[in-house]
Amino acid sequence: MCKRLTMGSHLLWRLIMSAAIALSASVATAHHSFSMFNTKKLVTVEGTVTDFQFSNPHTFVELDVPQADGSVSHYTLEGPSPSILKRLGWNRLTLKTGEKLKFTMLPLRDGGPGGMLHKVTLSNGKVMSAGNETVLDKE
Amino acid sequence: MHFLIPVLSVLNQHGYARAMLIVLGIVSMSPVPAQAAHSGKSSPPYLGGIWIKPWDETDKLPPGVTKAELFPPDISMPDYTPEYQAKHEKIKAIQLSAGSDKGAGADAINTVAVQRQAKCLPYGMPRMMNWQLSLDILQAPDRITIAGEIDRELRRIWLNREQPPLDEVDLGWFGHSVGKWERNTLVVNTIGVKEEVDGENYMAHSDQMVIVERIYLHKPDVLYDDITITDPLALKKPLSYRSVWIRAPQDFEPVEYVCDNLRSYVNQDGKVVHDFDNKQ
Repeated sequence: MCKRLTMGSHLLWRLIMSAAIALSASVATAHHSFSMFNTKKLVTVEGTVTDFQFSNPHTFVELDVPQADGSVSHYTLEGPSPSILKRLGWNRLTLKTGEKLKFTMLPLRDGGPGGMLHKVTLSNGKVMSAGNETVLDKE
Repeated sequence: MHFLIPVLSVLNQHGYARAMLIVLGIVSMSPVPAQAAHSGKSSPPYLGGIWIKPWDETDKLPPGVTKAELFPPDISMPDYTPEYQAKHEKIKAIQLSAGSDKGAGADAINTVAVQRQAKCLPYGMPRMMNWQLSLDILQAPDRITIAGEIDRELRRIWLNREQPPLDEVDLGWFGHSVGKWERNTLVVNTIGVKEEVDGENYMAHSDQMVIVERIYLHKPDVLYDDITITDPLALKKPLSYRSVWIRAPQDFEPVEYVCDNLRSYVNQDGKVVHDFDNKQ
C-alpha cells in the first residue's frame, strides 16, 4: 500500500526542506564534535574550487584562495553529509572544479585555513545553504 | 472461474448473472490479504514505507495534523540509580571532551563515546529509532526490517516469536527484538543491547535494559513509536518518550551512507583530531 501523497504532503515537504536548516546542525555533528569551529564568527572566502568531495560521513570543499600578497592559500571547508545536502537541493555536481565562487564559513578556531561550510553563491547567483544556521551563535 | 460458466448461464436466464459477476469482481479486487481471508482475522496495518523526521520551525502543518502531534516534549532525564548516574556523567564527559582540545584521556580512547566520533559506528538501539535521517520499514508476515539511512543501521523485529532469556541472546548494538500485533499497534520487545551503546542524551544503561516500543499509525502519514525503557540496574523508574515520523514524499530516496572519507582519528590524548590535511 504505497499511499499517494496529497498536495498537503508536498507542501509539508517543501517546508521540511526549508526547515532542514534547523535540523542539520545536529546531524552534521553526528560523527565528531564541531568544537574546532568558531561558531560566533562568519567569514567570507572567495576562491577556486579544486575538489568537491560529496562523501560520507561529511562533505568537503577544497579551495584555493588568493591572498593580498599574491600568494595562494589552500582552504578546506567541511559540510554535512550528502543526506542533508541533498535535502537542501545539492548534488555531487553543485560545485565544479575550477569554478571561482564565494563561500561563507565558520572558521577554524586555531586560525587555520578552513572552516565549516555555511553557504555558497553559485555562478548563476543562487545561494545554496549547507544548513548550519543554528550552529552560528548570534550575539 | 470456468466452473461458474454453467451456473452463470442458468442464472442469466433469470437475469442474475450480471449482478453476480459484479459481486465476484468486487470480491476479487478487494485488498484483503490471503491470510486474513483464510483466518477470518483482520490483517495488521501496513507500516511499511520510508519515514522521515518532521523538522522544527515549520510555520504550517499538514492538513489535520497539529504541531503538538508532530513535536513531542523533549525526552526527560532518566531517574538513575547512583551507580548509573555516575556512568551517565562519565559518558557525557568523555564524549564532550573528546571533541575539545584537551581530549578525553588515554584511558578513554577505545570507548564508544570516543570512537563513534572518529568512525562511522552505528547509534544502535534505541537511538536509531529517533535519529534525524530516514527509516525504511519493510514489513513481511514473519518479520519487520528497519533500515536506517545514517550509518546503514539495520534491525529486524521477529514476529510471533517468544523472546528468549537474556543469557541466550548475543549482546549487540541493536539487541534482539520480537514483536506482536495488538490490534493496530506493533508491540516490540528488545533485549540484549550491550552496555557500551549509549542511549539518548548520553544515557547509561546495563545489558539488562528492556526496550518496549508501541509502533502505530497515528494518522495515515504519521507514525508514532512510543518507547519505554526499563532497566533494573540503571533506572529507578521507566523512561518513556515518543519518536514521531512522517511519510516521506513518493520520490524521496535515502542516500547511500558508506563512510569512505573519514578524515578524523583519535590521538594519544583521546582527542578526535579532525585532519584537514588528510585529503582523500
